[in-house]
This record gives sequence, C-alpha cells and structure tokens, in this order.
Amino acid sequence: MSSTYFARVLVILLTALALSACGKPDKPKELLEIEALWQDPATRQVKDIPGARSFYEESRKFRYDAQDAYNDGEVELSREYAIYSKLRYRTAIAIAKQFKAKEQLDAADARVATLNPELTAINAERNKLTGEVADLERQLNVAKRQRADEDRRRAGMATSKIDAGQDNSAKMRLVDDKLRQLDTARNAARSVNAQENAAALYNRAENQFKSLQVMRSSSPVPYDAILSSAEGAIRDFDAATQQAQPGYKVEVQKQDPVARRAALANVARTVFGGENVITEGSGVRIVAPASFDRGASSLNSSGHRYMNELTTLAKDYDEFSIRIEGFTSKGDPTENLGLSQLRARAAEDAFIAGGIKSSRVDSSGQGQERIRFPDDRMRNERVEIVFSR
Amino acid sequence: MTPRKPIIALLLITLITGALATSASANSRQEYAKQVEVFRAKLLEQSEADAGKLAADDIALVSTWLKEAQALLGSGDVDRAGYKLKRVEYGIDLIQALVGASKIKDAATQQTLAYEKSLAQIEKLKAETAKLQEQKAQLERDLRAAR
Repeated sequence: MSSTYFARVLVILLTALALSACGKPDKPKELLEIEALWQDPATRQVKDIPGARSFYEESRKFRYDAQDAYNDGEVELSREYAIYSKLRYRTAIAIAKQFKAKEQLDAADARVATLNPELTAINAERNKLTGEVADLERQLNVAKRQRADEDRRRAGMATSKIDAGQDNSAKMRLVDDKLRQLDTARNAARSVNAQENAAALYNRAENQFKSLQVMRSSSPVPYDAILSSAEGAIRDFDAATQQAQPGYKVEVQKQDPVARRAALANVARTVFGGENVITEGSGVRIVAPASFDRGASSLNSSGHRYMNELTTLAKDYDEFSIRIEGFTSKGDPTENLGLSQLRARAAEDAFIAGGIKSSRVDSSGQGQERIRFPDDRMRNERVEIVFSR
Repeated sequence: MTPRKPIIALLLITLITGALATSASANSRQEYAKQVEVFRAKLLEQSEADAGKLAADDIALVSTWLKEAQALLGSGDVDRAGYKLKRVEYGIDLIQALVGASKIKDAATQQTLAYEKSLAQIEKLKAETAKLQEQKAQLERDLRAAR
C-alpha cells in the first residue's frame, strides 16, 4: 500500500470527524424520555380509557412537535414540547386511575347495597323479638305477683283462723288496711314505670314491701313494726311516682310517632331555621348548609357547630334512625361523588364521636345532584340529615 | 411621486408595524398576568384538597414554574413566560386529575370498610336474634308454669 493511500484514508477520517463535530446537537433528555415512553406498548393502552383519550392524543401531538423542533435545530422548543407531552401523558394516566378507582367505588357501593335489605330485615326481626320478650317478661311478672297474692291470701286466711277471737284482730285489720294502701301506692308507681324512671326510690320501697310481706306472714305478727315500715314504704312509692312522671311522659310520647316527629321538627326549626327543616314521609330532613369549605371533606367551624346540635337532637330523640346524605356544589361529577361520600362519612364520624351508636347511623354520598341553593354555591357544600322511625 | 415619497411611505409602514407589535406584546403581557393570578388560586385550591399529599412534588414543581413565569413577565420576556404558563396550565390539569383519583380511591376504601362493618353488624344481629329467640322460648315456658 502506498503512502498516498494512507493519506487519503486519513483525509476521509478527519473529514468525518469534522462533520460529526459540526453536526446536530444532542437530543434534550426530555425528548429522549418521551421517545422511550412511546416505545412501550403499554403506553398505547391508555387511549382506550374513557376520558383519557384526549390527553393521550395531545401527548402524541406534542411528541411529534418536539421531534420536528429538534430536527429544525430548535433544541429549547423541542424540550418545551417534550415537557408538555409528558405532562399530558401523565394526566391521561391519572384519568385512567380515576376510572379504575370509580369502578372500585361502584363495586363497593353495589356490595353495600346488596347487604342493606338483609340488614334491615334482621334489624326488624331483632326489634320485634325484643318487644315480644319484654311483653312476656311483663306477663310473667304479673302472673308471679298474682300467684304470690293468692299465696298470701291463703296464708292470711289461715292466720286469721288462728287469731280468731283474739284481742289482736283489730290490729290485724289495721295492718291489712295499711298494706292495701301500700299496694295501691306500689301500683301507682309501677303505672309510671318507676322501676326505670326512679329506680333508686322504687327499689328501696320495693325492698320494704317484700320485707313487709314476710313480716305479715310471720307468727306472731309484728303489728306495730309493720304499720311503721308500711308508712315509710308508702312515702317512698309516692315519691318514686312523682319522680318517674316526666320520664314516663317522654316514654308515652315515644309511643306516638307523629307527635314525636312534630316535636323533633319544632326543636330543629328553632336551631336550624324553618327553611332548613323539611318534614317528609316518616322522617324529618335537616339541612346543614355550608358545612364544608369548597373541595374539602372535613367539617368547617359551622359544620362542627351543626353536628353538635344534631348530636343533641339524636340523643333526645333516640328512637329515630339517622340517615346522612353528603352533597357538593357543581363541578366534576365523578370527583364530587367521591367527595360527597367522604363528607357524609365525616358527619357520621361526628355523630359516633358524640356518643351516638353506629348502628343507628347510615351515610351515603349524592355528589352534585339535587342542588338546593342555585344562587349560593357555598351553601351547597353540605350534608343533610334525615331522622326517621 | 417624487423620489422622497416612497421613503416616507416605508418609514410610516415601519412605524405602524412596530406600534402594532408593541401593542400586541402589551396585550399578551396583561393576559399572562391575569393567568398567573388564576393559576395561583387554582394551585392553592388543589394544594388544600390534596389531603394525602400525593401530588405534593408536582405542586411544588408547578409552583416553581409559576414563579419563573412571573419573573420572565417582569423582565419583559413575554414569549418565554408564555411557554412557562403553558407548562403551568398542563401541570394544574395533571394535579387535578391526581387529586381526583386519590379522592375517589379514598371513597372506595371507605365504602369497602362500610361493607365489612355491615357484615360484622349482620353477624352481631344474628347472634342477638338467636339469643332473643331462646329467651322468648324460656319465658313462654315459665309463663305456662306460672299460670
């Protein structure tokens, strides 16, 4: 090989080196990233997710713009387009995640809905049985009392026969009269359920009553002691009757659902204002407007105040079940559905934290449907509570 | 036309074109300044809504872009400010989607917990009902005996 040949090769190599040094600048890393991303077959699957397609298409368009800008030597512009492309692609992915989460939410909603009928039915059966058991207990107590009275009457007859003709017969009549008064006082106390509404006084009197029964059956009969103790027991039964009456009045009212609903609605109107209390079917709906800041799922200061009042109502009207519905103002329907559920849950938590049994409370999100205040966006950030029985 | 007239016409055209360009640039600057305010409010809103801090990194990045856009506007570099604001706009779209997905996921988790709670409640009620049935049967027997 001649030296001319080597010289030629050297010239070619140097020329190639010079050309490469004066060639295109390096691709920006943002463009390289987006090119790598688009080579992944999984990337294309995003376009089939509802709502994500437009972001996917924009991402693709910006990717081509970035490549064109780079080919034209505009590296900065190419980087900018690559950044837009990546942002749009990530948005498409986030929308796809929303879609998947919404499917999970719908599935969870459906599962909860399948349980509700069973829960309602078994709850009703439990309540029915509780009533039947209480009724049987009452009947059994009456039967036992009647039997005891009958036994005492027989024992009394036997004692009377023994004491017949004796000097104590006059005292015995006094004792029996006093015990009849005691029985009357006792029945009066029981008629206002003093056993529960004035338990301490009633139990003391009841113990005396039982002791007197024993004393009355003993021989010889301690007439004076019976007369003295019976007087005290009568006073205690009378006091128990007085004390039990307010509680008994509430119990009686509870037996009348219409009157109780009306009473609840009246109290609610004084606290929440007439426009926020609606009587509907077997329930009373109370609107707690502007209980949340926009986009927030935690109660704001007004919301906490409302929940305190509602918890007091729930305690005073403890025979009512509580349904909570969460709402939002207008916006993204999917996002708002989730937000409204979180709001309903926050109100439920407030009830439970206030001492209300979780079995009484049920919550659901209604999203941005049923806008109640068309002219006041903030007031729609709310929960509505339905008390029903 | 005298030889001076084309020169004057050319000067006029140049002046008018320049004035129009200056006016367009001023309009863009005002428009972008408004966008900065709107985007700042949106970012704040999303930052408050992002309870789980899932979008915290993106919110920080977009906030930086917004500050850079504002600085570019202040220095009169309207074109580059426009590009930055486009990033901010797309960034906010991304953050909204991320926060939305997180909220729906939270709601789904809560509802799943509610389902499990209901299942436990049903079991508890079944046990209570069985106990009450036994109690009822016993009371019926006692009542028959007492009568």
